[in-house]
Amino acid sequence: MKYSVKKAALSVTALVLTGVLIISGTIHNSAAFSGLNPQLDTLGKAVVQDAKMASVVEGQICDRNYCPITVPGEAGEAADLVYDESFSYIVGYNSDIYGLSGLRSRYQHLLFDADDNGEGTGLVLTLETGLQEFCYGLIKGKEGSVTVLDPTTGEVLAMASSAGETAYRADLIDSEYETYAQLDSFFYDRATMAADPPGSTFKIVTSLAMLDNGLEELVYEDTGSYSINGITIYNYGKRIYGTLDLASALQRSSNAYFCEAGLRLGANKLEHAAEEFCIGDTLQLDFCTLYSGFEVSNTPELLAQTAFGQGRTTVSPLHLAMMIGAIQNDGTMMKPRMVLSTQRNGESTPYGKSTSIRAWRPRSERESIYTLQEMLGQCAESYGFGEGVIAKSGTAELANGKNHAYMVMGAEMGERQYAVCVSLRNIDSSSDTTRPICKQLLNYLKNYGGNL
Amino acid sequence: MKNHLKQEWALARARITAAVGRAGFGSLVLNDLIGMALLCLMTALLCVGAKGALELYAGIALSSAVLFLAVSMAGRLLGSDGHFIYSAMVLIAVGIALQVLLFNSDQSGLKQVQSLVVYGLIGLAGGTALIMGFRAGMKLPRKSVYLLLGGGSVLIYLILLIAGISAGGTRAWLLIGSFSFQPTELCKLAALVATALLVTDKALTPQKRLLGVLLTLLLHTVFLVAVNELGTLLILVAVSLILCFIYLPNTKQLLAVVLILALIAGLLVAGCWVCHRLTQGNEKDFPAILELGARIFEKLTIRVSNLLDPAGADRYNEGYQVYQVRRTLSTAKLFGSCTEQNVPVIDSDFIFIYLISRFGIVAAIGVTLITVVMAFEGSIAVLRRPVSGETAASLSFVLCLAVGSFISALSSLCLLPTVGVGYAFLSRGGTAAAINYMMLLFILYGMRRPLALPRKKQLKRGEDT
Repeated sequence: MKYSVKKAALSVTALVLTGVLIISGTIHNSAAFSGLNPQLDTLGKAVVQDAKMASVVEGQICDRNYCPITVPGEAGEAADLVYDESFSYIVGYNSDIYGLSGLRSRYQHLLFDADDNGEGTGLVLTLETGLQEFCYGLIKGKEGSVTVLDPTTGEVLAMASSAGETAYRADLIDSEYETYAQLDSFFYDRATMAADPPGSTFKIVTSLAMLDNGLEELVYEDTGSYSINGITIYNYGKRIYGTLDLASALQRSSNAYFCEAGLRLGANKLEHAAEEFCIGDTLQLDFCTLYSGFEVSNTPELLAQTAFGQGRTTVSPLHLAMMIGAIQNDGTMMKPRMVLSTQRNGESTPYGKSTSIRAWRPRSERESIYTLQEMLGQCAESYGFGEGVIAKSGTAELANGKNHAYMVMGAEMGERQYAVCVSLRNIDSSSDTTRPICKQLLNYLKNYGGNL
Repeated sequence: MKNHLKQEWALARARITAAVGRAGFGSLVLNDLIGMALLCLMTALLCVGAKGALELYAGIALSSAVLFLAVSMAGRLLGSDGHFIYSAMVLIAVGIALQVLLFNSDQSGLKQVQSLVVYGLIGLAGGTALIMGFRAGMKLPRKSVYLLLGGGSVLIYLILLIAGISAGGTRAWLLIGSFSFQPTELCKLAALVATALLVTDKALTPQKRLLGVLLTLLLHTVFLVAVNELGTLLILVAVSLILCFIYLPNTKQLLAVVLILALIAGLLVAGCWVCHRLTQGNEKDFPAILELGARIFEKLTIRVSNLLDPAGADRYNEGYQVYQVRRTLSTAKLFGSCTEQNVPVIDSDFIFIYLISRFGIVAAIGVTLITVVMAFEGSIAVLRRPVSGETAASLSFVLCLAVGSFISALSSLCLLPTVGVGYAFLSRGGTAAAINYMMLLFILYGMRRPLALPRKKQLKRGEDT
């Protein structure tokens, strides 16, 4: 009995080729030969970082007064959050399963970079724990955010977020992740990631454009609605305000008046004013990337809608706080920042510095800003916020019948200035609901603001 | 029986005399000692990464030496060709080192080597029994042998289905007291021997031989699918088809069979895929048979989808292995340890990945090349011997070791959707390790050089034993 030598040779060759296939697969599927498999190269970097993290005590995060926000544990363990509900969105989670988020993700190169003692670099934030806790208490159980900035430096003093009834506890991420993931947009920080139409707060921008372009004397007979190309735009609640000038239109938030103003201004002037407030820009901050959108044309309907804060304009509550801060700071918009310094081997090193995003114009040409400050001061008085405060409310109407309500507010308490944005999302009522929150916040700042 | 034993003893004495006579007793011992010393040195060097004291390395070297000596002496006594055994012994050395590194505390590392040695010696003893049994079986009518092999396999499968325990997704384990073993490995041996005997059975026409092989495959397919041992089934199918290809003249018929098999397998998997999709969330409303099909192939379906889209694998559930394999490979280096080594069942199913993670890509390429050399040398040496059931069985074992190793490596690299297949001499699995040594001894037996025996005439080339 014989066998086919050719077939035997073919079979043995097939075995050898299988070996070659394995070798090729090993080479292709490994990152040892960088560039062959870009996906694995990226994964490899993440794995190396994970391994590094596992051997380091997570760096401590403190507030501006060096009060601890996180308490480090053992090497490879997540540091505990001291105020877990109020700081969860800012600090984020550290999970073996779900990775990192928030500042922990953004500053992992520092927090997990071991010093001589095997401890990661600490961060000192611009936040103040008392104010942060208070702000969180104001919106706990609701969906929204409270942001407080120092408009002269851009330092974020508080930035509280809440997704609704369920409180976010980053410490419990491993056990609660599934619950959180089922809720609508739960992991979105409502202060920085929510990008929606600004509502009537945008009238600040339109007003400044009017003041700069000689339209401050515009008087308009408000009949409660404004018709354009077959579309009728109503005031909030279809209210009729009668004869209005700019100051009274801003105070009463007349949509009809600002539709007329927008059409008279034209798209270019409105766009220029929005650019001055960085609306439509993407801003790289030291704690997040801030997105906003702006799109306007000479189409009358879109121009009119944009002028009173609807249209295709989208901004976040933090951006609104920056806008009111710029007015309060006489026309200089400071870049928000959250990290004051780093702590390594017991030594503190300043981290970054306060910088302006945009100084609008020379001091001699700031008359329109001072005028706008006066007008917004009258608005604040009408809201019952008292003297030394500028404010503007806004309501963005949604297609589902719900509203996003905003209140932007600038306050001067002694030597300190504050720029505030309070936002409540998906509510049935109007921006009036933000007023009690703002009043409580103003009282807090009046009593304790000196300590910040 | 008594006469038979006497005859075997006479044969063994003749081989010892021949071995000593060829090399001289002094050089025999010297060569083996040098070879063993080199292998022990290599094993100890490979184990340097283990956290152990000097006693650990000494213990490893001594234990390894026992295994090397046993394999080496078996090869010498059987008068086998050299290259195959060298490559096998290098793989054994690498396997010992990997297990030591995996269990790198002093006691468990040494314990691991000792258990490997025990498995090896049990396997060699089992191999001796296999050779004796094979020789005795050759004196029986072939039909009785086929019935014995088939009936024995069915009996083992039935015991498994009744009393077997599930582990790693398969129902292939039997637990007797605290001792567990995998009887399907014995069925694999029986299937390979039956196939080897069938393809070389001169009493049957080529068509009948092919039919016999297919029936054998069908029998084992039914039961292996029932116990969810798809990796073993894949090895059996591959080896059987290669044996048929080499030994049977009817290539066209074989090609037709391969196509039909591929079609059936494709339809089966596609059907079960559909069942799996249909029964999701609606399991109560479907006939039991559909549910059974969906359940059997559920894991396979998930593995296939993970294989097609490894980046999208569910890292917390079924895709955990794929995810961890990718993490390990993403930090693999050309030489030396990588960062990540968190693949489950790393000591057996994913030993190839562990090899990469501890010794680097170059080591994996080296081990693959050694396996290729082992398969090449083993096949050539066996094919040089006269065609017989014995040499065909030896060839099937060579192919089994090589194909099994390759499937294990490809599974480790997530290029095949199978798990549960060990790499020859590298993986830890007790039963599989012992069976590997049994096959190793039988291969050495099958490739032995012709020898003038005192009470038996010299065999001519092509003559059956």
